[in-house]
Amino acid sequence: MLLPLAHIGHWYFWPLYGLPVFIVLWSVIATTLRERRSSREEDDR
Amino acid sequence: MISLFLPLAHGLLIGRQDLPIPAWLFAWGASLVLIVSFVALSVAWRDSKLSSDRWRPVSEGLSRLVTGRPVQILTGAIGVFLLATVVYTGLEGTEEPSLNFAVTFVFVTFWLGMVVLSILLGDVFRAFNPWRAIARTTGAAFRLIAGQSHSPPLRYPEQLGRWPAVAGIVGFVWLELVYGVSGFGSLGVRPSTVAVATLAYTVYTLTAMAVFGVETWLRRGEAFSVYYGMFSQLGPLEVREGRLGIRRPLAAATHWARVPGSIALVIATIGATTFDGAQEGLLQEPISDLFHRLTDLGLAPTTALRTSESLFFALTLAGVAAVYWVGVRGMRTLRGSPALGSLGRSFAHTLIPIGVAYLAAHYFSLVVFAEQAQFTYLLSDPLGDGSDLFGTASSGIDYGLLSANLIWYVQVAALVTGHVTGLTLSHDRALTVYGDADRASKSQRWMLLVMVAFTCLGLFLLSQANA
Repeated sequence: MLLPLAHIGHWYFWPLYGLPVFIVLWSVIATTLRERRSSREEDDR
Repeated sequence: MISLFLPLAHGLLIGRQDLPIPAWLFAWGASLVLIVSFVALSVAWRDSKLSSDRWRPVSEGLSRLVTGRPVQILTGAIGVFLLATVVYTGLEGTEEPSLNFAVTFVFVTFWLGMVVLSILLGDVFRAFNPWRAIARTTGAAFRLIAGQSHSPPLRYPEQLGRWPAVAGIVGFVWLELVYGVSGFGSLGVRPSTVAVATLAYTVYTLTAMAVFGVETWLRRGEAFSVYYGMFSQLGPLEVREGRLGIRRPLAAATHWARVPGSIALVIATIGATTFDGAQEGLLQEPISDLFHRLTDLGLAPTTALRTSESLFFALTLAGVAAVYWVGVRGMRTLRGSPALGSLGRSFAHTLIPIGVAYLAAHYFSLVVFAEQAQFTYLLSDPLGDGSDLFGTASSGIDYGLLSANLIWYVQVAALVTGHVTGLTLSHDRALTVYGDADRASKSQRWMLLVMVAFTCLGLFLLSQANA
């Protein structure tokens, strides 16, 4: 039986190009949240 | 090897096979270059260097030679002659797009070549603009006959900003990429369509110039003047009050996006190129699926195809806009940031180098190949009827001029350079918006994300199209 995956070639390499974007996105969000938390803690003190 | 067991469509669209390292690794390398640039800018670029409006005139003799009346008349006449040639060859020549002067001239020589000239030499399209030349000549004739200047009957609504130009550019791209599509794998706007569209645009532009004034319409509504004017902001040459001068490269761009519609224009530039690249790979299947669904619903094939393409074109523009606004919203999370709209306008000019990078990367090889045709057989045989005006009608295109690897390396270099330039402009702007270098650097993490996203998207599209 032939799997209906004729166009998988278009999408096959998506993750490899998307990964750098996700690494930067994750780093930016993590850093922003960490800084917000520490500035809130400073405000509380 | 999984691909051995899958019925892959359109050949193996899984990346370039002839590179020494996989194509996706270039995206990682380019991202790394951007991250290093971001760190270097944060450490070493502590004061705004591009916000000053410094401009130094060149010698009066040189300025007069370049911008004097005889040159203005000559360049205007050349512009009008080329406009007439496009209309004539489009209507009278062969309907085969690749053999007719009009199609290659409009979509390659003019549309892409003028971008390069605008960056290198400043706003040269203003000198060659045929509609400006016609309007000025008509105005001079009116003054001569009526003894007074024509005053425009309506005041241009300033809140419209550059939106009429955005509509014109999107319409032009739609004509090329959507209307011109006559079937999958078979592209080409008919020469007669180009000629009719040129005539229609001429009537529209001259009417708008008569209604709102020539200079006002050139600044706000005339699509090509606004479009090439945007790219000319990156270059070092500018004419001010009739005098040619030199300014710091990139500096003029920092003042460009204050007018409404500017963000949309630069997003349309990137979105149009993205759609053109995605049409050949990433979006081919979704477009085809929608096309089949629409034909099943009873739509005629051409209508179904144009509808599908139009929808995905709109989605691509929205997607590019979304990436930009994610970056701007991210910056907005920094305390004391300006309002969202103001922040968006403040950084819109940082996308201009990305627009250039996308154009260079996607069309570099097309320009090299098509210009060989333009200046040989299309020049000698503009109608495609077998004439040989300059003895070059039998010349062909040398496709061996560029190797596949060279094309790929130029594409990667263009994308990396464009995005590093964008990041630099963005960092410089952040210094003026946020006041101190530390807050500026914090805000720029989000623009780094935008630049990495556009770089990886560009390389992905190219790897798919090149495969």
